[in-house]
Amino acid sequence: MAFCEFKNVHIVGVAAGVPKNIVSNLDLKSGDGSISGDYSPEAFVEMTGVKERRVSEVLTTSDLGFAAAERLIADIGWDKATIDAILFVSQTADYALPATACILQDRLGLSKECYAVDIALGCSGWVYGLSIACSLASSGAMKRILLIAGDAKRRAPQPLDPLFGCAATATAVEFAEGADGFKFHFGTDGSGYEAIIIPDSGSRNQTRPESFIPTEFEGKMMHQMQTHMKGMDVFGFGITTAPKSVKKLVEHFGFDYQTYDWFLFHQANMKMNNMIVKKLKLDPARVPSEMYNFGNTSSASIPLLLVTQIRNQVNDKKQKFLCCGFGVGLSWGTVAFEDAIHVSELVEVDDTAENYGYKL
Amino acid sequence: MANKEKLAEVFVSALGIPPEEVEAAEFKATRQWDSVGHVNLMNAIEESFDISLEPDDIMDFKSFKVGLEILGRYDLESR
Repeated sequence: MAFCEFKNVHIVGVAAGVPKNIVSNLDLKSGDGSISGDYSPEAFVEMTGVKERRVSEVLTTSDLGFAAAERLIADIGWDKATIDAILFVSQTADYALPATACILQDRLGLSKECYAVDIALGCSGWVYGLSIACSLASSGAMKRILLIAGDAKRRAPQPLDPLFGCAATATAVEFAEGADGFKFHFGTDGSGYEAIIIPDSGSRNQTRPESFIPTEFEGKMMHQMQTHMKGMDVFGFGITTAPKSVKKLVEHFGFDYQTYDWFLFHQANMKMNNMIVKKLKLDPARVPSEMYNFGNTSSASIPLLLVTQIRNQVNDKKQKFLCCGFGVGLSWGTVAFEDAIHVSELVEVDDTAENYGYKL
Repeated sequence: MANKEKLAEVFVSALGIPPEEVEAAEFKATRQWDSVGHVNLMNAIEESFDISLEPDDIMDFKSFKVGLEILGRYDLESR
């Protein structure tokens, strides 16, 4: 049973960085490899709920995460020398090696006495990263942890993955004696690893000329560097697993989730999320959505909701949050906590050279 | 309105298929009924009938005919 609880730790603040550049899915063309020929761009937007996305062909996840971290550290007044650990959750690392967390330690000017690690997860990644940050800080052995989570500049040019937007978030986690902390539930089903996959560019299938030859997949011509999703498998997984994970968490720890102020779910597909809301009998007003303007931003999606959708309502106010991330792996995680989080304003990053290409 | 006719109307509006093709509609075999269309269709059915479909029923709902049987298990009369 993958339940855990960490006390004496809390979230100090959250920030998010996105490319300044906005693209509209209404500008896509049917049959060009971006959407199935069976859909007009209008129908695609209606069916998925994704109208606009923030994209960049140059900014990496670490570029956006760097911008978010700089804003957050300035806003909450942390001395960089006091940050004990940096965690980088992403499936779009800067390089095959080294770990991007190591690069960010230097780029952010953190102490060399710093724990730095990459965590290769997608949609569930922020919840997992948060649990690792909590585990490091809850004993007080480490006091301040910086969690960077997100995805950007994927393996295919952005028009070919029209569900996905680019974003990276920074979450500041700190030891706090007496803090209520966090309650987690986790799950994994690796038998579904092919349900969401970029088939080529890893060690198993390295990038080769054939990687870029489009073949038919679920009614759409796609090459092997695009994100392949078995729609029904993902849909079935999402509507089943997310509500179950929430219910398991509340049953295990014995609390009433209806007393919570906010329900932050990974943003996969607007209508799938609507069904999850119905299954859990939630008030839709307490379940913010960012799909329309940002698309699916992978492990950034949950903290991005705080920054872009409910900042005015929650900033520095004690609120109860229940968050659930679910997707690629297949992997899922749910966390419940009560905290007063500083939520920084959204950082929009333009494609100018000073924002990317760190020590190329 | 009978449930069969009501379901047919939902198929037409959610999937955009002609009324005369509804009764033969099957997941994937009907061009408009792909996985994205399925999410849309299931949402529309839940809204139209004011029910919350069980996840297993959503996954088994692979044709108009089967769907009608599945709906028969729900308490639609009192709605």
